[in-house]
Amino acid sequence: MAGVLIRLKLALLGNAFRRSIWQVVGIVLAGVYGLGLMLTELASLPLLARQDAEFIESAWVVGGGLLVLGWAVVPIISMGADMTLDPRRFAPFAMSPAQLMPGLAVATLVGVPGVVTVVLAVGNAWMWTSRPAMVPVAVLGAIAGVALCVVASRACTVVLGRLLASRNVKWLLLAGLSVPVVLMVVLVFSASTTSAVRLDADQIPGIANVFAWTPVGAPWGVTVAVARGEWWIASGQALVTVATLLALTWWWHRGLRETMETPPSDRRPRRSGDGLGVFSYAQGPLSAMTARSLVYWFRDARYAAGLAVVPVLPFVFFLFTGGRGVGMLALGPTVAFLLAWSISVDVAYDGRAFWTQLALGVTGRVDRAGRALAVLLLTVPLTGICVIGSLWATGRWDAAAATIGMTVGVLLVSLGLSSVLSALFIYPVPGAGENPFSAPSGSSAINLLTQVVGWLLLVLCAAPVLISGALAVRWESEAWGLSCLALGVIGGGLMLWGGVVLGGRRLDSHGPDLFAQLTAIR
Amino acid sequence: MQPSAPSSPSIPALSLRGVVKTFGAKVAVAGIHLDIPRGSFFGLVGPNGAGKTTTLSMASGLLRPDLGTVSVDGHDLWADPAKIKRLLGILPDGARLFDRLTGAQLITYSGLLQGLDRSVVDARRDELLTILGLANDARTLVVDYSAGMVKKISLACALVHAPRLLLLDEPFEAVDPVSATVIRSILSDFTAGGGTVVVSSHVMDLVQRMCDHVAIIAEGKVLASGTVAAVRGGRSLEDTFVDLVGGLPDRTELTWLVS
Repeated sequence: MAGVLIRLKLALLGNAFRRSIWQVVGIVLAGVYGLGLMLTELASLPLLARQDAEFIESAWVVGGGLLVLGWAVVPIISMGADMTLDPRRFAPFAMSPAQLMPGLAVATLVGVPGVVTVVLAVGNAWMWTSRPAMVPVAVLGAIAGVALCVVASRACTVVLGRLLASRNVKWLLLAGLSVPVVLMVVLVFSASTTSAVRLDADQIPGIANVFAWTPVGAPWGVTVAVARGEWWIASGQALVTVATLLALTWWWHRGLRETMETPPSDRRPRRSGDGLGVFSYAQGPLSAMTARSLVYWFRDARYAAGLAVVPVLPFVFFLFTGGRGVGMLALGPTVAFLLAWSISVDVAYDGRAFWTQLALGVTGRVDRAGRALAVLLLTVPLTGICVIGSLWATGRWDAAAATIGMTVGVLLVSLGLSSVLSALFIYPVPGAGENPFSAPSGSSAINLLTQVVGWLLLVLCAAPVLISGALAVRWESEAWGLSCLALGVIGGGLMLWGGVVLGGRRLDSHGPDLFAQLTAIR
Repeated sequence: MQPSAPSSPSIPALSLRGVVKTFGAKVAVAGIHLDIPRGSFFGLVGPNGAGKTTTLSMASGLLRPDLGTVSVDGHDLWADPAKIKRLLGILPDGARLFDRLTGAQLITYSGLLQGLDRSVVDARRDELLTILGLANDARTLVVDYSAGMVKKISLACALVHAPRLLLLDEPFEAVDPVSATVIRSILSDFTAGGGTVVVSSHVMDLVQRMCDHVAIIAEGKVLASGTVAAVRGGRSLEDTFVDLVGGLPDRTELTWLVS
């Protein structure tokens, strides 16, 4: 069974090469990157091996623990969120989850990230050469660590997959909202107990000793404890390792069984009202388009993910600027950019449902304007709160005009550019109901290129507003502030109008070609 | 190949002239000529991969032909797609919908984007939901619909703006018999009122009973077209079809299956 699954994974990898040149480029780049990373690290091994024992021990535990943590978190923030062996695809076959698991586990390691992990983990055992008897122990520890990586990643993928497939993305918005609350509690708590937390190099061994008792650090900690001859600690940490492995395997098994036996569904036919929601207010093509976009912002994880980040941002800014720095004033423009930029992949997000836009004969201008309007309806109140909050936190009420100008400017310019970009470029994006953070394999190279070009254009177009705003804040100048406001509203307004017209024209002339590209991707 | 359609004095509702589409090295449609008379109930049949879906996509303005012209009521579709699409009602096969909307929202959306008045959309939406048996699921997200319900809601979206020409790809697939009967009667009334329907299907019996005209397509070409009576020439449509596309393949016994 394991052999069949591994051959399947290899065949899938091989077929990816045959699909398009960009996939090949992506895979080759990933391979080169992984290989480079691996060789650089391995080349530094002789140097590491000559360090003192304490350094080796901390490096082993902290590095190894972070590796496991990375594997557990990666399916969430993706890069390698690998759904090629999606358990749902095995549901029709006469295989129990228990039969599938060994094969899935090994197949997880087939591919660039898996190979790099195995080689690094086992290769790093060489670090212990100054105590040759320790090398085999370290290799065993590394193997246990890799096993933990695999099981943690599979368990997270299965559980997360079920969450993401649900129609309701409230959990995502709740998660976004909960971060500030947690941070608040932590901040208040840490402020009341100690002075600021500081990290020194000589604290690391202490951290490593604690880390070695956590589920992610335990397999690496065992090696260290054995090296020190602390047998009780070693057996304790071995117990933690085995317990974690068993618990995660059980969790994975349960998730697999649920996925294969009861596909997720939360069908709720009885919604309140007439089932029209925001469409009750729609009167014509433009408002219908806007209503549809708004529904998607709240019911599609790919859009909702952007909204969920918004509550976190004020705290990130607060932490980085200390709350009083003028950098805080960039909060409004950042939120504006984040939300407005989301629609730069709107046509790709529509995916194959884009045919309805074509079939209905929607003019490109209405399409563009409707999507932009939905973002405006969401962004205006959100950025409003952010702008007022940042002015209040810094006490720079004199910079109100400049801050509003920059926020409005960035918002309108981003919307204008997004309207053109999404009508120009189609690239592979996760489909509705898939992990919003995952990228289809091999797409990253061209995604990144278009995004970088887009950002450069944005910076260029928004430069006048941003520069005049920055000058107003720096010189506390009312004149610059007012000119920033005027530039933001008038210049940004023109950019948005131009973006809607140009993007619309492009949709009118090339709609079927975009649709052909969309159907070719999947 | 015989000339399509009986002598019709008026301009055909849909006319394809030398339409070609290739995907890479694969020729999906290799020069199709078809005239679909106004008021006809036209069946498009062919084996899997014959080019039915590609042909319908090009006729609906979703896929640009490499060569050839598509005319609706004598107007070149690809010269001004946005305007001519007002005359078309389209149901592509296996197409994704904006499935995060509820059924009621989806029809409202389609109607409003076609430029209908809100009051008209409301009335037609409720009528369509009721007649297609979806009234109880109007508040359910389309993503939670069954395959047959998705077909029905797609059909409702294609009908809401009262088009003159319906292009329906496999409209009866996965639809239950009661709904299929309702849909057939809706389509018959529609053609009786002067509208034109083009359906693609694999089900020969259905086409023979329901359609008055038929075209058989294989490997991107029209093998036969005309009235159903003329094409089948006294035999069943299924037999004619199997003969035209090259007879049944020889098959081994599959003894391991029947033992």
